Amino acid sequence: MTAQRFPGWISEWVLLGFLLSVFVYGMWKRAPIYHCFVEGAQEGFTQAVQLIPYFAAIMFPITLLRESGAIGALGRLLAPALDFAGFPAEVIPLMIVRPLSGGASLGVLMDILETSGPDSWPGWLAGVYQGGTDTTFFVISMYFGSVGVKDHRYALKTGLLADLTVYAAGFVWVSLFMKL
Amino acid sequence: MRMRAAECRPYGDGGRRGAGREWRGTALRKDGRQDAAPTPCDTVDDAYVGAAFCRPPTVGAGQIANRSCCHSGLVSESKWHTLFKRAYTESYGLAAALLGVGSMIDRIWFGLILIGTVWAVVSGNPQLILDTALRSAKSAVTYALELAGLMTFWLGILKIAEKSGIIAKTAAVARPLMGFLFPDVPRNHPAMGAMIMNISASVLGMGNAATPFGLSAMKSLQELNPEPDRASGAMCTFMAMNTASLTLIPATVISARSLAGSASPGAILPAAVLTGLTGSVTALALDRFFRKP
Repeated sequence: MTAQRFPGWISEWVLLGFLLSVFVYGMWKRAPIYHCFVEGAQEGFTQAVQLIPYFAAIMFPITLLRESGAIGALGRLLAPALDFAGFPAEVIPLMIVRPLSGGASLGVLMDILETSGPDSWPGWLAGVYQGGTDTTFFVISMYFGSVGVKDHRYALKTGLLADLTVYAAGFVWVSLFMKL
Repeated sequence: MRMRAAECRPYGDGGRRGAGREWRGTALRKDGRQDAAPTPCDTVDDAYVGAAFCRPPTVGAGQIANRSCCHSGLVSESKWHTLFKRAYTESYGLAAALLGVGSMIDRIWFGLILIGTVWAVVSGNPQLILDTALRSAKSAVTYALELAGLMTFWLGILKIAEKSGIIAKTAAVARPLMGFLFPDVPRNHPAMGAMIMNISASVLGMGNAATPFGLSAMKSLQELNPEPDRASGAMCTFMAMNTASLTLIPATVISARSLAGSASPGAILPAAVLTGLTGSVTALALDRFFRKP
């Protein structure tokens, strides 16, 4: 099952339109676009380099789980449920790690894209899960911690339930788009 | 957890200076508040996971078992029997302690490594473990450096967008909606402005630009909060929007897809946006549902 052309070219035009309008708008507003770009690019590079330890930490267990056959075994164990829905077992580690760490889940995503292919069914699902939600635990503990709020009330429950919804909704939307 | 607290002590008073940085995840200040000073790696995010979610220390089951064993002195046990019994109870305590200590990310990481290692040994190729360790560290660096190329470009573009005022334009669109979502916050309060900027920046995919706005929004929301220790309703709604963040341009995912050789890296965009939208709407609905009248 691979993606057809239809959603592909639309989003490519959206991205291109966004890119060009940023340049044009920047010039129109007399922003120093060249210096802005360089400044942002510097941040981007620093960020990517800061990801290295997180990648190194998460790639080890993930590669080990995959190559030792543990993920395959998990897939066979859950086969009745997974086959019924057509859900790929490769994506399960990403679903576990996603609410905990953005760097680690990006590492898992890169691993899935590399092994299953970016345009495959697990590749799409993993991409949507990475892009469609944020690092729930981190966001809540950082923001509440910054003002010293101890009782988080129902915030964590809301965030985690929303993550589960994202997993279900991503499944539905990706299967719709891959059938187009 | 207990062990860490003890090790923090040499720094002086339970972590007022230094200790918070040494044990980012678990250090608590004397007044029990979490030490929330931004750490050097605040772009990436494991640091805070432990702070809020660590468990009380698990008492090693071995200690209790040993004591009861000493009292039953009637049966004279052989030396080996005692040793064996002790090793058994100690290892039970160790296993219990391993699962009970550490922050969430520690336990999950340890669990993943443990399962992978055991599986590799059981399935008959233990050489895979060391082999994987070395190869994966190498591929971590390769991936990150490949990603660096694309991230320099995207963040450069997004910086132009930020500096030329596209966030402020988006904010103008978001304002009426935010008034509806936060009825408790006065429309011209600084909290409202900061929240609008935070949401606009994260919708445009500028996570880095969004965080400072988010922190100042929380500070202003805290001023409106009647109980400073307890999250206000507006704070919870703001968290719901942030944890299920809706992003129109998922730049990192698109970069990762193009690195892996996708025929059309951006093709995922509609599905990702619709999924994010579903998540955000659900989060806001749940937030309304959980809030007690």
